[in-house]
Amino acid sequence: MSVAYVSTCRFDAWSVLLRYIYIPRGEFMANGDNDQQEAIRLRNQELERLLAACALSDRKAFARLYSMTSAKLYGVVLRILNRDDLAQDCLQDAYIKVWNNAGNYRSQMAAPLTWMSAIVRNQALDLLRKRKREVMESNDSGLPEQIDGALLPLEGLTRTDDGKRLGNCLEQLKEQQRQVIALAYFKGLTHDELAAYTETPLGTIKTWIRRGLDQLRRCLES
Amino acid sequence: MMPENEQQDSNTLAGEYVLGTLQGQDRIDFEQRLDSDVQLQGEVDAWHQRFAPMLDGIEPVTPPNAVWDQIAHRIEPGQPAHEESTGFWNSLSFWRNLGMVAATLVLALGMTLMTTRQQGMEMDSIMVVLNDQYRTGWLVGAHASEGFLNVKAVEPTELPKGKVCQLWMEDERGHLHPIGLLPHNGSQQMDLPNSMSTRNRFKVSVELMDLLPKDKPSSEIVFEGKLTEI
Repeated sequence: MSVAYVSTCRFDAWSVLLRYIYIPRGEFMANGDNDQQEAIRLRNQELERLLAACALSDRKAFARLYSMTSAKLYGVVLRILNRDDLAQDCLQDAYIKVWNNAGNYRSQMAAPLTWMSAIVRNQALDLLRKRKREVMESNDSGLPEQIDGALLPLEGLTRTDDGKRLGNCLEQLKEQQRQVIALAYFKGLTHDELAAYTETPLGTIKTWIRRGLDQLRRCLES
Repeated sequence: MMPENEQQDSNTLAGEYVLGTLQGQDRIDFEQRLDSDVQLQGEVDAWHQRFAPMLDGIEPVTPPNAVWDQIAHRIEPGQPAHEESTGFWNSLSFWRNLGMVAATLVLALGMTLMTTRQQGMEMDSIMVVLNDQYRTGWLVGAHASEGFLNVKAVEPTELPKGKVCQLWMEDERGHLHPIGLLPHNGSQQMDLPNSMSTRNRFKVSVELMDLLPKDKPSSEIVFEGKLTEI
């Protein structure tokens, strides 16, 4: 079923993938690193306080939280869903989740924006999967918005220390491993869909991902 | 101790779960394990952290104002609790609750959470009271013009039967004044003494429920801190 769905999106997949999953080596920000780290630290502190106030049902704090984070999170949703109307509904639902679950945020587990980004990404991927099921049930011609030819945003990995580390480790993977991991992360493609989209045997896709994840973890922990 | 191969397998499964490639029955089985497996929860958390920088490269885009208008409307007091309220996240790890499981449980817990919330509060300062594990035990919020605190239990310290955590406020001369008992669940309002300001320090002691002191704590202070302006 899912093969039929992704096959409608296929277009010389590998050549496109090879073109758009490129991680440049960052050689900038040496002078501004400390200032940037301090700005991030202060922002995180404020977001933590705002989330705590949201947990106590402070709507004014929630409005401030929204004004500080919505552009970032809307960018994430838009990148996954590729459609304004879907992205706006999704963003709305994601913020309601943030409001209802602000009391469950734990600063020792993740930075506030990481926590919120995970909620937003999962909300977007859930919506994508739901629409996929609807399309399959209606025998429609597919979801052209799921995969487009735009760049996947791995080039931004050079912006932070964690990003640089992840970027370096991704660079050590085989090109195909990096590509399927990025597609799964940003577009929510399953093993079957990745196999169909890249015209690669399913077993190979599963191996690439498993080995890729294992290699990534070892690299990041080293 | 878990054999190395098994450990590696569960770690990769956690990675696939976060990546989104773990689907169908495998995902359901994984989420069932996740419910009680603290180590697995830690692995899922770790994968979320590892992948987090992937989103950093996405350019921000300002959403239309209508999005906020809709959100603001939905959080107005009196609006029904939608399926988005997931009290399911109240367990040790929130990440695992981002999946699509136990919809009915989610709704039930979410409704419970909503009914314990007091709507319409505006805070201008906040304090996080840590529990015995140095995690967020309670949230305390205050508004300068109001004469009370709003306290919400998050992960309260587990205490032996008959014991409670008592909140104190310290005046300029170093004297402590009892404010109230930190709730074990839900939210609670606590009146502040007239002469006190939210700039004063707060302290927490563990006391016997039946013998609550009024002048000073009878045991050592387990936490102290101040409200921080938002």
